[in-house]
Amino acid sequence: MKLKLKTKNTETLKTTLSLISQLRKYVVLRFTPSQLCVISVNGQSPSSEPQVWCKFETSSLFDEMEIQSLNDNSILLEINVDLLLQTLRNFDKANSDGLFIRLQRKDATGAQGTNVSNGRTASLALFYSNINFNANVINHTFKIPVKILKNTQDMSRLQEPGHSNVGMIMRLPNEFVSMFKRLEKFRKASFNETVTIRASRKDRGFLGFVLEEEGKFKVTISWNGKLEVMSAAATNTDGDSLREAINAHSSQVDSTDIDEMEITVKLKDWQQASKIVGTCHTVILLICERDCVLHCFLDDSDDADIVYYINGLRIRNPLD
Amino acid sequence: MTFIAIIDSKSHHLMWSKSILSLSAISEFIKFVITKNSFSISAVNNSNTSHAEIIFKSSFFNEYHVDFSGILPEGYEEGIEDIDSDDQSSYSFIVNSRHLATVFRTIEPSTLLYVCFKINWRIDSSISQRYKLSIEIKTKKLIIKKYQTSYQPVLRGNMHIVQSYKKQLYDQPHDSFDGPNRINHLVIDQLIPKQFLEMVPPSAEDFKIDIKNGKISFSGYTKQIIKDRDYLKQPMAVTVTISLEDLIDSNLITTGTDPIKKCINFRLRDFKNFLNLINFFTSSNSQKDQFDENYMTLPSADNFDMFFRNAGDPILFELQNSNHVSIQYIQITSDDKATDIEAKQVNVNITKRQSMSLQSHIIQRIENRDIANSRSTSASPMKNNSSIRTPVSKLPSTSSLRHSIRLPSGWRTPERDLNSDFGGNNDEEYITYGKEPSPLKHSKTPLKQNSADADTDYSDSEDEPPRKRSNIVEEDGFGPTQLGNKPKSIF
Repeated sequence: MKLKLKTKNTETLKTTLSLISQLRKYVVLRFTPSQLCVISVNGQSPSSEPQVWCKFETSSLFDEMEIQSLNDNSILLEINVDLLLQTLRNFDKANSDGLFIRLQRKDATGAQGTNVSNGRTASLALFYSNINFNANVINHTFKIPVKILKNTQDMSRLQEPGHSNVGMIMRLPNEFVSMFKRLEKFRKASFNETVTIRASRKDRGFLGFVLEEEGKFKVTISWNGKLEVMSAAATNTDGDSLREAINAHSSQVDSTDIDEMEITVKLKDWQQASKIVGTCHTVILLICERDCVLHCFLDDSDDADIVYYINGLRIRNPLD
Repeated sequence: MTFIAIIDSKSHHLMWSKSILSLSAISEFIKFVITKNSFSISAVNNSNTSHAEIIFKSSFFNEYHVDFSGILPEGYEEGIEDIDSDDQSSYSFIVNSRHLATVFRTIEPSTLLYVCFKINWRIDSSISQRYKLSIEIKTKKLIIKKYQTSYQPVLRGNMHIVQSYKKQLYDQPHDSFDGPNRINHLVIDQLIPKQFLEMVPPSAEDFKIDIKNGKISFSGYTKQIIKDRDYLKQPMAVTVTISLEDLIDSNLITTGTDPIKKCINFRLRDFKNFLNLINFFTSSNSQKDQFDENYMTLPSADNFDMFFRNAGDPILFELQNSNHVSIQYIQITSDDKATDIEAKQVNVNITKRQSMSLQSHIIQRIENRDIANSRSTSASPMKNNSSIRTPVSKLPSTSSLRHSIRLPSGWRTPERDLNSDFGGNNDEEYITYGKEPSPLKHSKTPLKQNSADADTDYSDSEDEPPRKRSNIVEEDGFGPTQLGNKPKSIF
């Protein structure tokens, strides 16, 4: 197993990690020669909580790399996201010319030569050097403990969820983050635990959030602006074709498309996406039969791709 | 008064309060050692592994008076009356650090006019005045705050490590690099460890200095704990490495072929404490820096010294770039590998070890001397609670304002010092308290011109039966509610 990377610019990785660092303390990094995937899932029951899958082209993130393993050259590490983020921030502040990342089997503490080669513990060493204003060259080394994931049990909980019958695809405008702010007030104010998302392609597109408590109140908050609804049938749901669809502005309505969809999710799960939606350049909402997905692109380039999966609570048949 | 020290410069206020806070983070007690030309405060932690001492030269204070004549024997150690000697006469005592920290934590240095410390250690002082440290603080809003805390006299307990390291460094040949007890010395810009500490996660516990291959590295880490092949405890390890040649000065660069190899471990906590503290001493050297953030980041000669020998021996950090103050932090170090430590300690000469160890304070038992009946001294209602009370502060009205500046002759205000003659008044204690409206006061000593006389009348009675007193904390104390009653009981 070998992992050696060099990068000059960590901005993309840093921004992405800062978006998901609030969700969970640990993330899984999956390195393959072509792709780096940052995965935030619940360790025990991956499907009950939202999952985030961030994908990067390794060639755009790293200037030099060496990724080798017996397992199809893929390396899976579990790492504390805050420590990694903190290190990237330190590197950013240091005004250094290159960050080196290496996977080390060596113990990160002081004792020398105590290799723990049998366990799954290792450390991810990040190092860079800079020159302080007394013209001293200072080398910085950060060793973050990581757990190497190998066995099938680890792998099985790291299955990227697929989509269950995509019903509706909508592009959310950049200002949509204000909807999150509005919903946040309801989350604090009452016992709202669930929210029903109702979407329709009629008129100029409708997206409403229904907060309801039986016999007490029912609030619907909906987006008044125009929403770009895309054809679900014509579009594939992987990142590349979504990107193409956006660029083509293909909003022809297919007769087989469903006109209205509804899904109920936990309000908390939905609200956790607020920071991602607020930061990403392009946000696409996919409403499926049993789940809903926020597919986000960090910027114009193809560098970063953040997918936020929320499982639906109750399955309702599309109304008519 | 037999001891008076006044600080009235803004930057010195800050240095003082930060020093107190830094020491209070180490130990429950702060030891004061007063000599004719220096005022030192120090603390040793519970496990006797870290020691911090801050020595203020008398020039640090705007006013500094020490008079050892007729001093109480406990805590006093007579020495050579030589200005340069380390063995001068001294008076030593310990004070609860929490109390001091409470007083100085909340104080905003820029709003102070002066801070005044006073002790009456004369043998003929009244019992209620003995073993008390008084602190008077006057703010710009003309509020005078008075604090008083009891102290316990201790043996001075000289710290040999600093002197012996420095002497050894001076004596050892400059070209020998392989002596087993060689003192290693280096001077480093405090910016490097400071930036290093900013990157170390707060949960890191251990600190390592590693010298090899002509480089020195500082590491902050936590020893790992692994259970079932998973980490239970191991935060990020952070290391910065610089070349030995980039140090301001050191005796570590060898001329021979073998580079020096050293690895020293100790707890990160007190090193952090030291760096935080010296930050205030260096950046406040010039007051301009303090208020101009741009200046703060400019390079300046903010260096400190490190002296160390081997793993297991103490390491000394010293900052001395301010003319008035010297800060010395000593930390007992250890080796990396727990197994080696035991083996090493067996070989170590016992006597050497003792001189290199840190000792906690030795409290001096107060002798069973004739002690004045405290009841009689209560004629001047003393605020001698054993702990520092909440500030006895009040905003003086226009009429009493004059009093508070003029009357407290014991509490000399700096501005009056120059033109006032305190010859006889120096013996007056706590006269400010006499201002409190007490009918008794007026009837008994209306003018309170010479409170020393008043004291002798009631308290300086050597014939009175001795009263056993083991702990000054138990000394009869009068709370504020008792003040009214006590005088009545006499008459």
